[in-house]
Amino acid sequence: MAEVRIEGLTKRFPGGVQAVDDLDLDIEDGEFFSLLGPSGCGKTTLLRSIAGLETPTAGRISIGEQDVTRIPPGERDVAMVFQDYALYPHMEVVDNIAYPLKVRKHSKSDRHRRAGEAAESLSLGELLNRRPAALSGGQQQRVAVARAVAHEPSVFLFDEPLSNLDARLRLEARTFLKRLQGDLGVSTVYVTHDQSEALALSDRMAVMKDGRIRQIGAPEEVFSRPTDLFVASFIGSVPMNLLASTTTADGGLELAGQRVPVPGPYEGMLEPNRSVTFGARPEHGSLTPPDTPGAMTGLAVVAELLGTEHLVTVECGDVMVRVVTSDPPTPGEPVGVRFEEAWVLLFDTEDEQLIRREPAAAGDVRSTG
Amino acid sequence: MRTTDQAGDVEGGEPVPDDAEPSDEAQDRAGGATILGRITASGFIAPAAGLIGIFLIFPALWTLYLGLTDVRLTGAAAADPQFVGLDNYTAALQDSLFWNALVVTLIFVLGSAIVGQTVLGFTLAWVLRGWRSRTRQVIEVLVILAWIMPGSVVAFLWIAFLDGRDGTLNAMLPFVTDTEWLLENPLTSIIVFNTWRGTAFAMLLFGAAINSIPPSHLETARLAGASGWQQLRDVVLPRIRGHLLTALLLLSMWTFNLFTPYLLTQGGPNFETEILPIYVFREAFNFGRLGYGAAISAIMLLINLLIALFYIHVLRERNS
Repeated sequence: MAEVRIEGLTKRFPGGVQAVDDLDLDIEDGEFFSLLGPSGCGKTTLLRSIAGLETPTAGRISIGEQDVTRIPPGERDVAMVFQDYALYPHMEVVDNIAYPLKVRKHSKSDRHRRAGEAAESLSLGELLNRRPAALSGGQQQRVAVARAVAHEPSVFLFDEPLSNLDARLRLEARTFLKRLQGDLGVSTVYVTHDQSEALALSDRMAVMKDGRIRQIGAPEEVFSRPTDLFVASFIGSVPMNLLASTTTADGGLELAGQRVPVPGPYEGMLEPNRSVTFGARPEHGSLTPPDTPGAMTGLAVVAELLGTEHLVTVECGDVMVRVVTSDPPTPGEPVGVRFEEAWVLLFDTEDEQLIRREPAAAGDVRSTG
Repeated sequence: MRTTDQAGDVEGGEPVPDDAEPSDEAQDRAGGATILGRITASGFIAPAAGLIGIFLIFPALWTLYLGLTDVRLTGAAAADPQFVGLDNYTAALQDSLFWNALVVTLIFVLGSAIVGQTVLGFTLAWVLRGWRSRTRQVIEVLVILAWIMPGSVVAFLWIAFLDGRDGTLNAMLPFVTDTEWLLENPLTSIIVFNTWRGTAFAMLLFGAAINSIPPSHLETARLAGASGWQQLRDVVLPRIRGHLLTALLLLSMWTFNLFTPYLLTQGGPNFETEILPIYVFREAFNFGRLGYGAAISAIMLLINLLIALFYIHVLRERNS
């Protein structure tokens, strides 16, 4: 078990693609840490650099007390689970699980005992003598995890390990991974492009784009207070409403041609005529009768069933606003939309950053012009 | 039924539902109805089957028949060959030059097809796998050039290369020598020649096979701390064993039947490079003993068959 420290990591591929750009990151001992981002954001390159499968162009990586930047993968004491599981088709399950131990010259009885224990903890006990081809996708995935577990590394690295499973299995696998990691307490770096996986599994997570970390924090924090527009639009199974808006001279907001009050937390912080982006999750909105003061008014156009609730799309002028409600209006009906002020976020349209209440700290000065 | 390899490739494809029997798909496919009727299908196959019969099966059978006669290229026995039973075969088994040719051929196959083309081709493919595309392309083009040039052109180049007085090889060597390579080391020369010529094919084949291994398989081994040799032994070779055996089968049979060394040495000096195809040619066309040549050809056919059966047996063993 160990923490992972990354300092100034840069990876430029031949041909000029800059996958990771001067990135700093500390992953604490025993933490479940997710790297989340769209494809091409550098998250997999970062993970492979920690594994030693990529050589960084610049920067330092340390695991525990040891600087591993120039150390080959086999000596880093990490285990990786790949998206395609990387099971050897010619080996039985038990030999697949025990392969890293075999390379490290453990005795055969020791290998089989540890492989058996790892398999047992992942309910693979019955399948030890099968070939991978005779296993289902979910079983293959668990064998790949068992191989990492039997290795007893200081860090687990997961590269989208659940994305080849179907939706139902993915949920199951998510639960057992979380539990397993909790039981073993091994530091884990988990790469995914699925924001719901990152939210569900992580102790902390980082959202990446273009080789840089855009936000880092606990899942609740990243979900409820995204610090910029990219994170705001990327996180959430129902996308956040992000509406162009302008502050008015009388301390309100002009939103889709209508006037709404500035949300409480932002009162007195905004000068008139500033372009801001109004961000609010559909879950934090509610429907009101049309023309309610302080609410936006529009026409309900679609209501989609989410399960217990409905996602209603309301057309206000030329923008679409989405609200989750348990009592959907009939399409075509005029309705008012209001969001809980405490949850509304305002972003500066120009630099795309969240407008913060706290007076800027020394390193956080932003001109408000 | 699917082979182990195919079924192992579920990664990247559709996930197999949990606890499903992996063979469901295969059973569905086998149950499909035939699109063409038996007669229509036979009609389509007939032209190809006919051509195969005329150009492959008939000559082979005709050779077997000729091997049992004393037919000659010219003279009375050319006009009226007599049936001589197994005389040609017993004569062959008593001819020391036949045994010489067989031994030379086996050394030639072992040296150039197995050690040369297969081992060298595989080594090249394995070493080049991690190289950047440009360097690799240049090397591949050069090696393939050796493979696509006509045999007669290549033979001329090698005669020039190995010549004693003006040969390129002697000029390149750091010490002064006038070694006549084709006279002093004839068998080694044709082994090197054929290795040079056929390695490209082996390299391309093995390169494709190595590329078919998902990178994550090798990376998993690297993360476990496996050395290059361990990766090769534990991950690569078991996975491409089928490719390896098929390539060995093809390369050994092609080399066994190769006539091109004749262009370099004509089988000499003193029969040192007289491989079986050259022996057959000399007996049948230089000495005009067509019947005897046909008998030796039949023996070669038999040896080819044995080689093929051996590899097929090894391949089968793997799948069971």
